[in-house]
Amino acid sequence: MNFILKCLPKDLITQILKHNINRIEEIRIRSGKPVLLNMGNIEINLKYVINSNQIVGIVQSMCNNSIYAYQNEIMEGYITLPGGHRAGIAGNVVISDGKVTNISHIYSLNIRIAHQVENASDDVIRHILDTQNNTIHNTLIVSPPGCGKTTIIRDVAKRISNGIPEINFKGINVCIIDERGEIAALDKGIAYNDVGIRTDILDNVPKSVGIRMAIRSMAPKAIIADEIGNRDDVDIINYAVCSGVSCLFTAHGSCFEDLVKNNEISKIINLKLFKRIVFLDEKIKGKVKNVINI
Amino acid sequence: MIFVKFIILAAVFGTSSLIGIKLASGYKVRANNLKQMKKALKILEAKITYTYDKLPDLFLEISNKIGGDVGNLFFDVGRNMQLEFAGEAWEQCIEKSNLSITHDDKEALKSLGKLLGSTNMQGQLEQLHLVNDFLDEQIKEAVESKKKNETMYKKLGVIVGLAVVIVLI
Repeated sequence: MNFILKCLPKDLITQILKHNINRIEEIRIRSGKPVLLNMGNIEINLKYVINSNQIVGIVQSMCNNSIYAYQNEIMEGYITLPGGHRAGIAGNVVISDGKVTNISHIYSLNIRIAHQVENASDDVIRHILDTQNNTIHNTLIVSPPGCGKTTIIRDVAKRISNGIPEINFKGINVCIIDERGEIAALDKGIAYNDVGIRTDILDNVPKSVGIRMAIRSMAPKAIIADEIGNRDDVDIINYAVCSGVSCLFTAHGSCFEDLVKNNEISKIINLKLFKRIVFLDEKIKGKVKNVINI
Repeated sequence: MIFVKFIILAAVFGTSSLIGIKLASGYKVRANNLKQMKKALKILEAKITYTYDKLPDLFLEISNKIGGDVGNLFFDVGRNMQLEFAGEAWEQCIEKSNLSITHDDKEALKSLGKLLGSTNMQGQLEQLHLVNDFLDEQIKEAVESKKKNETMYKKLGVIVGLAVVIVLI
């Protein structure tokens, strides 16, 4: 959070510090509009209007004065910040040869503050664990954005990696494919989030590449990654499951009908690669809404 | 008495020659500073292109490689960048620097600050190319000035010194 505050205009920092910064989940910044803080279900209007030059300044500071070094992330619409936080970016999207090459004239930022919440997976983990075989079921956790999926899989990674003595679950080797650096917040070889003692991390790598690397080199018993649903994901998840590795992934959606509208996830479900799909409650973070056994 | 007069005349001659040498060395130092600056910016360009490292790290790294006044400038910019925008840090350090360069040289170098760190790769490289092209012209001009003026000022220092000595004798 200190890094984020350092990147913001001084007047805005003063406004933010009037509130409990530990409870801030999102800082919404839009050009010519007041800055909004999201604290769980509470939204606070700071009545501090920000201009487009200030937004560019914020992005430049977040990129450590080197926007070019974050070009690939900006093309994806976000910047991953130290500590696993993420700033989503919106504005004029520049397309060249059918591909996004830049976001010029940034209009808005959504700074999402990552929180490591102890025991965030309390309600979910019982649906994931395969205690009989001391591993996890191939599971997909589904919810709309902002319902705590990443926080949950981070906590699951930590618990299955360390082991859960209460239920005699012995720690297993876990590999996190941290495509956006949000799960483990790895920076210069140091994981700023605790993801367990038997966890390996492949950071800033596409799942299609990272999962293959992990299976070949790190011999994981479980692989954890965030936000599946891309074209390459079917093949790589199939490869992982066929290799005998247990998988835990997340996807966006609010119900089964929503989920199967995504062609790639529909294919994965039809191939019966997942044993369970866990839907999270949209109102209470970390709470399970329903579970579908495939 | 003659001995004192001889010392005074020698001092006048020496001072005049030294002033000439000092004026001449200004041309040499300017050309060297511009060449060093060009070298540093070329390294910066290559590093940005191939390593994607962040600017503060690159400036500090280049300061170790280049040394001298340009190295010191890069060190100051790299350090200040951690607290302020890259462009501001660059412009302020150029303004305060001890480089023996002209006002035009300074203004052209400061123009790099307008976009430093605030654009994509293409923007950074284009800006660096512009400044490098300008430096090429300035280096050429500085080398010609050095050739033309360095010897002239040295000789002028000696001649003026001699002239004063002759008059005083």
